[in-house]
Amino acid sequence: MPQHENSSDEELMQRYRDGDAGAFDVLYGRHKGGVFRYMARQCGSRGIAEELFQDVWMNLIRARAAYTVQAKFTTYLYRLAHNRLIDHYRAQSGQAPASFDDADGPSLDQVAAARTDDPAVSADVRQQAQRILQLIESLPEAQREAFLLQQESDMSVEEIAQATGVNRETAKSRLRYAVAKLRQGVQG
Amino acid sequence: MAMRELPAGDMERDSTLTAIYRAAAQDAPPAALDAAILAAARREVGARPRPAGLAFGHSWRMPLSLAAVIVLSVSLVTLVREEAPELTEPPRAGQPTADPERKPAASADSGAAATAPGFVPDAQRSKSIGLKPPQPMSSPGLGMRQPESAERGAQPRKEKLADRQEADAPASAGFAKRRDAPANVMEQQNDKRAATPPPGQSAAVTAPMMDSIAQQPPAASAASGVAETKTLSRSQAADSDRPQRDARLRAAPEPAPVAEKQSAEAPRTPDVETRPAANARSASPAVSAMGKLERLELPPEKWLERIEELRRQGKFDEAKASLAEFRKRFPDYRLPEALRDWGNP
Repeated sequence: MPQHENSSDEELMQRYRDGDAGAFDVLYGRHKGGVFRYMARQCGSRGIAEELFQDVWMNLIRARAAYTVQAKFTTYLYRLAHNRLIDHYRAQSGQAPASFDDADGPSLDQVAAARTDDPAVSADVRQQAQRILQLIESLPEAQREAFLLQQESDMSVEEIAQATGVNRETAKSRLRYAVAKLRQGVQG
Repeated sequence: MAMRELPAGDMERDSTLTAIYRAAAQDAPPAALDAAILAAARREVGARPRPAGLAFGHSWRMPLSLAAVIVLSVSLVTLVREEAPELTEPPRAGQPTADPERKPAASADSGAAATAPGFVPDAQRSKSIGLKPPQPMSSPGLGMRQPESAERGAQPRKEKLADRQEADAPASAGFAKRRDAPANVMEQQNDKRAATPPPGQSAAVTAPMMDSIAQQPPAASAASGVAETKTLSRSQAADSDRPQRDARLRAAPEPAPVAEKQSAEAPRTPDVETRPAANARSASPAVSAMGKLERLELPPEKWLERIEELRRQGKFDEAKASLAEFRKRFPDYRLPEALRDWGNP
């Protein structure tokens, strides 16, 4: 679909809403990896991640007729992903993780403690990659989500706030804590 | 606080972390999941590619539909024609019909025929014996074409048709003329031909029967007509179902002339044919009436053929009587040269 390659996500979604299935193909190709990794990192199980991933896209497909451009498409898409993830948490434990209620997040002392708890940080990039995945996994869900949204969809703090349904300061705080913990963990 | 130790402009984004993370994040959904989601997306907008088989079916859908419509239409028209031919058939060219010119002749006919030996118009006779007048032959094929077994199965349909004809009867003042119309008679004969033996045998069988009827005195004819009517009314509980009566008339009288012919000519399958002949003789009034009815229903051409047959057989008196009756019945009919002056007193 060369005619879709230069189109923005929002244009593609509008075309898909209007019946252009090829536009969806391009849109899916652009964002499938980010959404999938977001889910995989957040739920920790590939099988569950695949199920949630499919649900997110099916929700997008079903909601296509009502789509209007009110924000970046990625914000809209990850909002769907976030909601599906919260539903998954609630289905598992009856409620969303506590970190989603903690607007300010943990103190940076806890971040430093986390770094000291895990001193084995390799200088090798590959090892660093493995390490960062472990560090991401050890983050509270809300901070992890903020970091993943920033990395996978290149969202700004405002967009993360929109996607996760919190105010800007909360999103900023979560992201700061996440970045600080990971940096400390990687640098050892 | 440790927070203060972080670089001020790099609070929410760290390029080193991003590079490390990008190197680690290579996961992707499985291809099957991709295909399922893309297929669902196409289904949602109705743009999924069609399999080749569907395209083939789609291309044949229209011609097949047209063919089905044509077949249904033809079947329907055929059925309607069989059910009610008077509604669909135009008057036949060259055949005398119930036109204004014909009306006086027909009425004169009926007047003359009423006095002629052996002839009682159906309508008049039925009225005189308290029956409903015979229905116009609106469905010549209905009763005649069906074999008796099929006729029994089609009884409700015929009763419905008879009811409809009864309802139409008062409104159609010229039904007696239509009853006599040669077009209808021709059709009856055509139908009868399908149910009777081969032509040679049929002529040999029915011609003597006609003669025996022609020789009957008027009183006998009237009596036979009454007897026939009584039989019919007894069996049908005063129902003037025309197709049933026609079928009965067709079935009963034919063996009688066979027996007569057998006695005069060479023996022919006696076991098979003499027994029905004896039965027919015992029921002679009904037979004579039925023969007369058959003759009345004959088309003029067939009637003349039978007169010729009688002449060939040397039965000149019978032939003359039959010709006289023919002249009364079809006064406007142009006779062949051989018969034009023959038989005139």
